[in-house]
Amino acid sequence: MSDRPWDDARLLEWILNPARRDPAQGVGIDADPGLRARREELTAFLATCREALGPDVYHSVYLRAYPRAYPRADPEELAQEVLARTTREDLTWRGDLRLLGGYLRGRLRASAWLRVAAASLLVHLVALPVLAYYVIFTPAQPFDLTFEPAPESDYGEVSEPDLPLPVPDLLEEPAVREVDPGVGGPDPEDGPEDGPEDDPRDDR
Amino acid sequence: MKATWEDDRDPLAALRKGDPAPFEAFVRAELETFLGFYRRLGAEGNEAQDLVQDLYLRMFRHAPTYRPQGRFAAYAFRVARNLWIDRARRRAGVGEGRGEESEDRGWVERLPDRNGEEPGAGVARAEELERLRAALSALPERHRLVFELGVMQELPYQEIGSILHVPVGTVKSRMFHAVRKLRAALGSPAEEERPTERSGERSAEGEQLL
Repeated sequence: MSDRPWDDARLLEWILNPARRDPAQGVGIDADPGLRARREELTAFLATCREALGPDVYHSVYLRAYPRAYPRADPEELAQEVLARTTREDLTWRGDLRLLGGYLRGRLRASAWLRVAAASLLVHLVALPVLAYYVIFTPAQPFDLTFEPAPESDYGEVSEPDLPLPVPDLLEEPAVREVDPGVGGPDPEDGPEDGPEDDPRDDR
Repeated sequence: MKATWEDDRDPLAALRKGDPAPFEAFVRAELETFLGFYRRLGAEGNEAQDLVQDLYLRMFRHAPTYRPQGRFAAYAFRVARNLWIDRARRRAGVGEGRGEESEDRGWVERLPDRNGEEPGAGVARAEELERLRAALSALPERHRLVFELGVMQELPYQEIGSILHVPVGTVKSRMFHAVRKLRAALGSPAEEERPTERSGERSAEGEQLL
């Protein structure tokens, strides 16, 4: 037996490398109760890890408990996909189609949004021929175009087009001046208006 | 691995000779092995399946230039580990990468909210196991890989060293740290009492990531 101390690193190496074990070392470990207990504890811990992290527990516990978070892979299906791309690769157009189909299936399975988009596309593609059938085969109503006269105006029709009025003349109209003094103009309630002749600028 | 794939059963050597049967048997037999390998390393959702497909495709394409060196299991896990590194680089390239030392609690965070979930009878058992899985997810990736290859795949240290391109001493050290952290996370009383092991702290932990 080596003089090196049996620390955990060495014990681990001894446990995990059975092919390189020295039988004499095993005897030495068995002879020391403390060392034997540590070895058994480590061995039990590693066995627990193997069980807990192994595929059996993954499948039986995690996939069942959280099916949405942990998608189940069908090993046989996956193996078929691998073989179809390796030793059993079909180089004809059927093989290409099968490969494409497998790829699409995989993507659809992986994405809920893609499934929704695909369903929507399918609905539209189904609806389109139905709509076309309805349009083509439903007897068309005779096209009846009628024009209804517009209701007559009380004011009659304007005989002449509107002509632009001379603006200064319009502003000179007394009625306009009374109603709209304009911005900054005199308030009609303040008294009699001064005429334009009172404008001091006229004196100049 | 569930079976040995040496000599006549070496899948790629047989493929080179024109016999696809061992490769097909290998695909079927070890699919779960590699699915578990990638899931435990932190592959999300259907990513593990994609990685497994890529792994088999890569091996198949390398068959014409394949030369048997050592055990086939070591070769297969070397390819699997390289794919995992490629995946990490891709993710880092698109800004999703997490630091090597970061605590990847990926699958734990992805667990659905139990308050809104009616998952059934398996939950109690799942919660027990969750602690162990969470502790594993929290390990740095270099420790997780060594633990995966040594404990789950039961590969000897020598082969782990050849897969990860590190000395056996580094494998030993990483294994020790991985197991110590897992036991501490699970509240192993022995682990809390015991002082840090000399060999573990001292060893050539190595600057390499994997």
